[in-house]
Amino acid sequence: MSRAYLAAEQAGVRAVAVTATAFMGMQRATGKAIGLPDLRIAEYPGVITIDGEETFDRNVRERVFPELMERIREPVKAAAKEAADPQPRDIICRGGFDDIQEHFHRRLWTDGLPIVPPTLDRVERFLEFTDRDPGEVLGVLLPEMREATVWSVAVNGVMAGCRPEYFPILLAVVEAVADPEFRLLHAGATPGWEPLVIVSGDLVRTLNFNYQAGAMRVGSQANTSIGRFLRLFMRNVAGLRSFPGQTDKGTLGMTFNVALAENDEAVTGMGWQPFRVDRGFSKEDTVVTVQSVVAISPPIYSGGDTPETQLEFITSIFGTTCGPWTFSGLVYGNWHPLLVMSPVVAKVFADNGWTKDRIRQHLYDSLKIPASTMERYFWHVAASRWKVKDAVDEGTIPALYAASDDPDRLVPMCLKAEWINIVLAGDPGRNQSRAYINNHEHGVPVSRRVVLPARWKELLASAQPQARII
Amino acid sequence: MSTHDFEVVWPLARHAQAGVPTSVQPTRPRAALDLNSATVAFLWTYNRKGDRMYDIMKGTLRGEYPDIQFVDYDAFGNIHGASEREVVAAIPQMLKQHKADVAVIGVAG
Repeated sequence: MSRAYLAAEQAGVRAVAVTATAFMGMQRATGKAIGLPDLRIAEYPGVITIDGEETFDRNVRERVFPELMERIREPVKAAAKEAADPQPRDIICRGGFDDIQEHFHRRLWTDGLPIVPPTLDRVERFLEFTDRDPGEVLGVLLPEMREATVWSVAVNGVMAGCRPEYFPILLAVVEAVADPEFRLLHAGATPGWEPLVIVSGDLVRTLNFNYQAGAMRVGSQANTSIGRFLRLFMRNVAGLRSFPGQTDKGTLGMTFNVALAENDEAVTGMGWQPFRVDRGFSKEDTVVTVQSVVAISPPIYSGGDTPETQLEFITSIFGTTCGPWTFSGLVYGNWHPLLVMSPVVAKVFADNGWTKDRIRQHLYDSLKIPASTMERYFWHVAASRWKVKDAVDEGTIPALYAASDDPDRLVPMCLKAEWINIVLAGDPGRNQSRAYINNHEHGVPVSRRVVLPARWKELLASAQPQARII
Repeated sequence: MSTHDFEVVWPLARHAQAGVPTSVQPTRPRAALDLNSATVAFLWTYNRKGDRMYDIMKGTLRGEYPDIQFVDYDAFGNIHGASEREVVAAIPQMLKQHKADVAVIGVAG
């Protein structure tokens, strides 16, 4: 909405936003970030989707409309001159460990956990692991419209507890989320989705990612600090701060995801192609893919030595995890669920001649939901009048979704079989999978190849050896 | 107890100059608006009962300013839908085309 407001103002047209009470803080914070510190807002007092018609009409007549008229007549205010931003190498705080933590916590520059103080020497050590210029801009991140520079990636990487040798991966992660296709700006939307970093390639082993038992737990330094880095970066550079009155409006939200690393030996050992090849890259590359996650399934245990018995509960639990939220995929024409399988499950399929494509097609063909369920659920979320057929009429989804007028007709939950991603990870000795559901067009999977510096081997040899697990 | 002093750098990054909307900064005076001869455009996220809200607003405005003109949300499309980027990019041109004086933009909630 702020961008529509900005577009109107840039056209010289007086704009007024209509916003419910709980979103006033976010609107003002976003307005300030995009250069509109005095956004004109008419406030709806309450929660629109909860209020009945009588209350709603009264609030519009007695509260919103009078404010709208005031705001329309309001003169344009002068923007206050703000202090200049620090330069990258400026020292902004000196102190002991505790002083630094307090300084950063108070300004909402942390994720609530202690950070590694971003000193110049630590940042410079990170920068050795790239041949890129520290001032290079990887993208401009909304909502605060700040420049994601190579330097800013290093600073936040230090803070997150990453090792310097992770830096090429951090750069690829930021390149992915800075792609406008990823729509990072919507990470503050009410569903409260979190990004998930998926790493596929040789660097998984080189950098000691955990891709086996407990792969998605906090614990391994590579998986954990890279996952933490992205959340910190979103907070500090994109400006998505999860604190009341700030730009993040996740109603409950989720905690950050640790990075998911693919089990390369398992996937290639059974004759399947690795995830990076599914994403269009070479087997020799290491590739980072970032996607949103808005829902995670319970553990899906699947037994038996045939694909059919394995799919019995993979299919049903995958489907219930998508659930009625599937409507959002239809509204935006994007839906990219991810199935993470432990290698022993995948091997049953591979041994029986099944490919990932065949599993995808099975899920696409099997997962159906009544159109009326999604229409009703969207009403609960926010819609005034949406029907599945509307998305067909707009050309967002195929005509088969409106094949009949029966409101309870079953329609596919997945828009395209090829949009279902499959990654192998987890305990190789247990038969479990999980579904990770992305949030429609917010956080569609975006992949980037990891680019290593010319002196990679030499730098890696000079890196502090990782502590041996005892 | 802290025993070491640290000198640390800023974890944020500078604002992108290209995105700052200089045209809406304070300098540009606007003439007083006569709503009776004005055109009000309604832009909508196609949710949160905006259609009902705008009907009430239009009815009240028409009662007070009989010659007021409206541009309905369907002329613009959904500013929060699958074509959001294209719809928002077209807003300046659409507003000029319809000679709009005011844009009501809703609904966040």
